[in-house]
Amino acid sequence: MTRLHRALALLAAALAVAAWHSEPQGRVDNISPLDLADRIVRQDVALRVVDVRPRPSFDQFHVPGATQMTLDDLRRQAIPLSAQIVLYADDDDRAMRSAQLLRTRGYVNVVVLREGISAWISRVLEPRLARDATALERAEFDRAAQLSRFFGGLPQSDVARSELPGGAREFARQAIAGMRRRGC
Amino acid sequence: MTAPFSETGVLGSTGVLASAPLIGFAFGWCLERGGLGSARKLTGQFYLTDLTVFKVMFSALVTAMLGAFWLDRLGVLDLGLVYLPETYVVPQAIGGVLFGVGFLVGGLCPGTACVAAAAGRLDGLAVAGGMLLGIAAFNALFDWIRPLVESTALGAVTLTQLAGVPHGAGVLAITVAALAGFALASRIERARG
Repeated sequence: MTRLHRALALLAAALAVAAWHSEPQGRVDNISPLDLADRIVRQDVALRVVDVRPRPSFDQFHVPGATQMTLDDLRRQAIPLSAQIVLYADDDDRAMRSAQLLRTRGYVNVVVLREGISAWISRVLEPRLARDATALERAEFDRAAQLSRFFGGLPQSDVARSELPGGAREFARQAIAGMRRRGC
Repeated sequence: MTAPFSETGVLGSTGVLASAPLIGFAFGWCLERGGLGSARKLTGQFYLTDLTVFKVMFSALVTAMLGAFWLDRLGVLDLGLVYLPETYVVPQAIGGVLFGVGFLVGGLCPGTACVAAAAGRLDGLAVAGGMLLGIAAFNALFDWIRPLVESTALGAVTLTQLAGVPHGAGVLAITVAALAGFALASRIERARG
């Protein structure tokens, strides 16, 4: 191993450790998909829903009323400081980073949609209720079903517990996998 | 001005088309200058006598990963706009095995086959021809194998999303794996060479 190889290995290691440390610090609050749906239904005027996924994903499907913005847009565009901003993406990491970016611009009312677009699909558009559901689960489902119908969703009751998704992300991944396919 | 320029519209469709052959030629030139147009060198990795391919490919991967991560963090590149191929577990695993067998039998992979063919090597021409035949066969049989090709879809996911860890942690883990791999590869080469 030459001296140059050692120097490059050290540089890579330093950049990787710095990458690990560069993750956004500080807590950003979450909003649940049902709470967001509720606020959209109530036509909350202060609410501003921002989709930070790429334009093709937004064009394919998005939360009703959402605006698509790139990170560049978030750095430059003027959003009223009083707005209550809800950010979502495919993954929480991107939404959290976008929230951090807005925080540095002075926005304080910024929250992230927990588990992103996948949670919106599985919790709002396609909520499911197990046959052996508890009273608490039934109450939650009744609320979700009402909101789901408002957004043109399809709530399903009396499904086997084994058919319930393991998690919102997994369920929605199955639902949207295959929706887009692009050659390389 | 944020990259990728192909997605943000800076290059335009003509610019994108023009940049593709330029990048392709540069990639091919680097492969040839690195000696990777030689089937002997490439198959050396399967016999653990020459691990250049492993080291070149893994170092390219780590360089691209660190570059993309930091350019994104610095606001020069929007990683969310970079195309991410979808994952299909079973068909891609089968494709990986087929690729490996073809690599070992032919002694070249698609990129290096084109490089070898351009350099006038007959084995390169043979592998590139075989590759085109394979593409034609895949298309002819597509309707028949479609259920398999579209099975076990996970969507466009990354390793860090699957593992549920932050991107930075994934970058660190892959870099550590690469550095350990380079050290191990050098040791194996010394022992076998």
